[in-house]
Amino acid sequence: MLKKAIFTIILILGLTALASAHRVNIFCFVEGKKISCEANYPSGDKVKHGTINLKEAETQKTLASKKTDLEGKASFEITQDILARKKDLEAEVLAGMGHRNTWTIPYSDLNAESSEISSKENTGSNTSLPWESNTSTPASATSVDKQELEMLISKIMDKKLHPVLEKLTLLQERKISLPDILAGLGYILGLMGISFYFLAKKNEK
Amino acid sequence: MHISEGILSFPVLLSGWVYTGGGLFWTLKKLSANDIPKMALLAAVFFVASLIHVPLGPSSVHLLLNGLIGVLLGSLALPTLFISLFLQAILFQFGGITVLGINTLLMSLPAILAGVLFKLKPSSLWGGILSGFAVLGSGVIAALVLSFSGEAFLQVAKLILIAHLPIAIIETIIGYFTLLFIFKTKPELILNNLGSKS
Repeated sequence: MLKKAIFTIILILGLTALASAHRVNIFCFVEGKKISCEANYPSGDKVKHGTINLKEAETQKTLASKKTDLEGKASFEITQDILARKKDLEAEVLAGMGHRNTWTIPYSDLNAESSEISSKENTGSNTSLPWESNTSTPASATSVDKQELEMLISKIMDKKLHPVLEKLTLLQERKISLPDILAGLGYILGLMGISFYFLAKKNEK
Repeated sequence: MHISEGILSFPVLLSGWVYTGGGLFWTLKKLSANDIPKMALLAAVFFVASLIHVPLGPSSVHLLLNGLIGVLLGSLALPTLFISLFLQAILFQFGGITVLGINTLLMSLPAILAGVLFKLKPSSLWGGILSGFAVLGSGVIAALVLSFSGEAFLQVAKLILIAHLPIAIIETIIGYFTLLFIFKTKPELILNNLGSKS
C-alpha cells in the first residue's frame, strides 16, 4: 500500500511539467522605428494575450498598450510624440492573476532613432527640389549620397541585428538554478537551528 | 499564485503586513520544540513545490500544497508559509517583499481553515478534499485582493478558479495519499497536532 502511495505521488509529480516557474519576464529592445517586446515565463512558456503597456518611466503615464500574440511578442511604433518627451520609457507586462513585470528602455536607445528621422527629413528636403540638386556642387551631392547610404546601412544593420539583439536581451533572463534551490533549503535548516537555540535558551530561564 | 509587486495599492499592502505580522506574533508565541522540525520540513516542501508548474492560458499555475500544510500544522501554517514565501521572493523573485504580507495571508488563511475543518473529521479523504479546496480558497482571496486594486472581482475570480482547478484536483489526490501514508506509518504526526490548540 505504501509503495503504491509513493508510486502514485511520484507519478503525479512526474505528469506535471517540472520547470522553473512562477514569475513573468519581459524583454524589450529598440530596432529601427519600433520597440519590440517579448514576455515569457522562466519555463520558456510565452505570455499569450497578455497586456504590454508602454509607459513614461518617471510619470508612469501610459503611452500605448498592446496585447501579446501567441509568441508572447508585441511591438510599438516610436512616434514623434514619444521622442519629443525625451524621457526613459518603461514597458510593463500584465499577464493576469497578479503577474506583472517591467523593463526599462533608456532614452539613449530611442535617441539613435531620432537622429535617423532627422537625417531622413534632411534628405527629404533635398530630394523635393530636384532642380537644386542638379545645380548643386558635387560636394552636396556626395553628402546626399552619404545620408542615403547611412540610412540604407542602418536599415540593413537593423534587419541583421534583430536576432542578435533578441538573443542578447533574452540572455539577461535570470533563471532559477540549483544553487538557488539548495540555498533556500539551507536557509530553512538554518532557521530551524536558530529557533531551537532560542527555545532552548527560553527553557533554561 | 504569487501576486507581483507594483499591482496592489499601498493600503492593501499595508493591511497585508499588519495582519501577517499579528498572525506571526500570535502563532510563534505558542511555538513548541516539537513543531519546529515539522514546520521546517513542510516549509521546504512548499518552497520546492512551487517549481512544479502547469502552463495554462496566458498564465501558468504551480503546485501550492498550502492546504496539506494547513491540515498538518494548523495555525502554524502561517509562519511556515511566510518563511517559504520570503525565500521564494528573494531567491526566485516570485512575488516580492512588499507583497509578502498579502501573499502570506492568501496562502495561509485557507490553510488554517483547512486545519480547523480537518480536526472535525480526521480522515485522509477529508484531508485530501480540504487540500484541494484550500487552493481554490487562495484563488478567491487573490481575486478579492486584486479587486481592491482595480480588477473586476468576478472576472479575475473566474479566471483564477478555472486556472487552479487542475491544481486543486492534483492537490486533492496528493493530499489524500500523503495523509493515507502518514496515518499508516506515523499517525502521531497528525494525532499530536489534533490534541494541541489549533
